Amino acid sequence: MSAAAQSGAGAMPGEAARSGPVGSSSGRAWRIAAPAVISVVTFLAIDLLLASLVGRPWRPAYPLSMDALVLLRMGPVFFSGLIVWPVMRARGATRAQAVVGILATPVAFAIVSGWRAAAFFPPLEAAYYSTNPMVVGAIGSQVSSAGVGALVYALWRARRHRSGRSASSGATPLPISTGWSWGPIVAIIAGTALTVFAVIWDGGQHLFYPWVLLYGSLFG
Amino acid sequence: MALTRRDVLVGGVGLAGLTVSGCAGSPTTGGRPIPVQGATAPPGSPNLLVIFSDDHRADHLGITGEVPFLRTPVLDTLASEGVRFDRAYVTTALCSPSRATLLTGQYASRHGVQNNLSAWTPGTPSFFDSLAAAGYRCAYIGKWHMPGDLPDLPGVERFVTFTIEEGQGVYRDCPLIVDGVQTPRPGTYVSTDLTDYALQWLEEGPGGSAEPLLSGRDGRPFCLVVAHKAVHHEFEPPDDLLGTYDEVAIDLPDEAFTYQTLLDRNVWEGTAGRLQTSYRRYCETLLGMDREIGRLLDAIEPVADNTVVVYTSDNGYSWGEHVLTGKRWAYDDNIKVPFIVRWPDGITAPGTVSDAPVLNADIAPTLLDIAGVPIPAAMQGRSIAPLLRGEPVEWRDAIFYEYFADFPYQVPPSQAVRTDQWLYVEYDRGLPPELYDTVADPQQQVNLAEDPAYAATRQELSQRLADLRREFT
Repeated sequence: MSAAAQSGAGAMPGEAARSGPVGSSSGRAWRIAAPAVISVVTFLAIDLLLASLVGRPWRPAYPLSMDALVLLRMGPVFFSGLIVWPVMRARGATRAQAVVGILATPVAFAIVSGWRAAAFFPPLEAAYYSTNPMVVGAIGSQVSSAGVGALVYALWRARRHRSGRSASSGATPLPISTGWSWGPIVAIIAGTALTVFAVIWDGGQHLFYPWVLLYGSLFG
Repeated sequence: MALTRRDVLVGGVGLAGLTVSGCAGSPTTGGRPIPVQGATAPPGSPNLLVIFSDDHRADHLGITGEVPFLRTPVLDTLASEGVRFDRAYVTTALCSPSRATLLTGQYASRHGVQNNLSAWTPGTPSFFDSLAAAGYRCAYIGKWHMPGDLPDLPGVERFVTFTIEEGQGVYRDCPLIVDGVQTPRPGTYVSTDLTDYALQWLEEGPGGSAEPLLSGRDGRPFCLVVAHKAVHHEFEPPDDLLGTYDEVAIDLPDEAFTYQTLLDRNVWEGTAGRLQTSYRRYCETLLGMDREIGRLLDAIEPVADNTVVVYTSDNGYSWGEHVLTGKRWAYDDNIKVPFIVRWPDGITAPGTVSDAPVLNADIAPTLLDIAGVPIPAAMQGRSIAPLLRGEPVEWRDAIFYEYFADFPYQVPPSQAVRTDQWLYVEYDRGLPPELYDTVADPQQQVNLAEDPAYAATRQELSQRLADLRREFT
């Protein structure tokens, strides 16, 4: 039995299952993709619930419930990388797979946005709508969240390693380091910068106006 | 030299403005007045002052009593001295089209500024052309906000505006274009600054070379349009008014909630965050603009008896109604605007409230009518001067509304007819028709379009809408 299984009490989500026999390739693929899929499904479920309830007030729970749903919906769209990245990596995902994982929910958000916009704009314009600054901001936020997640995970593993407990990481064990690396830091800075530029700085108008003007050039 | 945080912020805003302006192809030239040598206006011709705000919804006047805490003392006084129209509508509830309609007296279908992305065509006739030709001295001071290159404006002697943020301007340190010259305005608040420029023009005369317009020595009447950025987002009140309404209770519509601002339908309205906070700032910004209007009205007091004052807005604004934040829709919250006219020599019953349905398209022909200038046949609005005088006149019983797609806002193109009782809307795509009994359902919550009991009404209004569409588009 591996040391990881022996010290399962302090494992990251998903690590305990690693002590069992290695499953089929499809099972392994699912284990790797599951965090991203759960994030996407969570977003879609909240989004659908929100769409079905909005504008149908039932006092007094309505405003609070709707606010909660709106804010909860932002979680998977903007911040799920915090969990998706380290869990996918812990389960053996390559960096490229993990990148796809953290981008899955913003892409789903973009598709839903474009699909909704298709009710108001022709298909090509609706597709362009999918590139809106909120989506860009979500991508930036996911990158920075993934950076935070990676950093915390690396620090956690380094601490376990120093204390003599196992910190192995699934099928593709990550190298044990001091816990510190520049990759997550760069991701945090770059992702935050992108988000701030896209949706926060002056309300995001420095991207919004060029985006609208480009629309005018393309479709005007 | 050490840069302060404020320096950085101001510099950032300026840089952003340059970036956006560059993308937009905003003017390196343009924005210049083109004075027109006109005839001599008849003695006693009235001065014309049009004050035009942005996103000020009709029920947000203190005098209406609709919003208990709201104060607009200057506009209330203006209404008590003139006529307030409580069924005043815009032909398109959107900034750029509404501005073009104000100037031309035409629907967007006719003047061509159909949304915030379609440009004003240079040479489009406005009431300035006619007034200048008739001997008026004219000025346009304030928000222009029509896309494309800022035009040179025929008929005016003074043209002060801004192009930063795609013409939306900013509340603080808003750089202005004064007669075609980029002019930094550090340390200024835009409502105050625009009022200062208006007062300067009135008190000093254009370029300081002519007689002051308020002195009476010039002998020529004036037409001044002051177009405020207020009360458009970002809803920034003057410093001394910030927080004025922090403690008041806000009664949002039942369907509204705090973070509806983050819904897809609202997210581009610039109100992201707490709805109540934005609303409070909106009301405080309105209070600040009201104060600046007061300064202007005080200044024209020497000529007030011979000055017609018109106050209105480009469109209304939803604060939670239909879970919306913003404008564009055909609902009353969006299409109804405050509309006040003070005309000491013409109004027979000051302080009255008229329920005649009037339009922003009526302003241009009204100004010309009052000035005794022929109304061009191309104008689609009607002079309301007879209504102001209390004369019996056959008046419209319905208004036509049109809206064109305005990317990225998720509002489908629509046309609507609004009568005293009914609002009927047809969308070009995305949504089925809507029919509301605005007497029984003033908030327009219950769509009767599919109710068999109202099939005949719907049919009648659909036909009426088709007729109006033919007439105005």
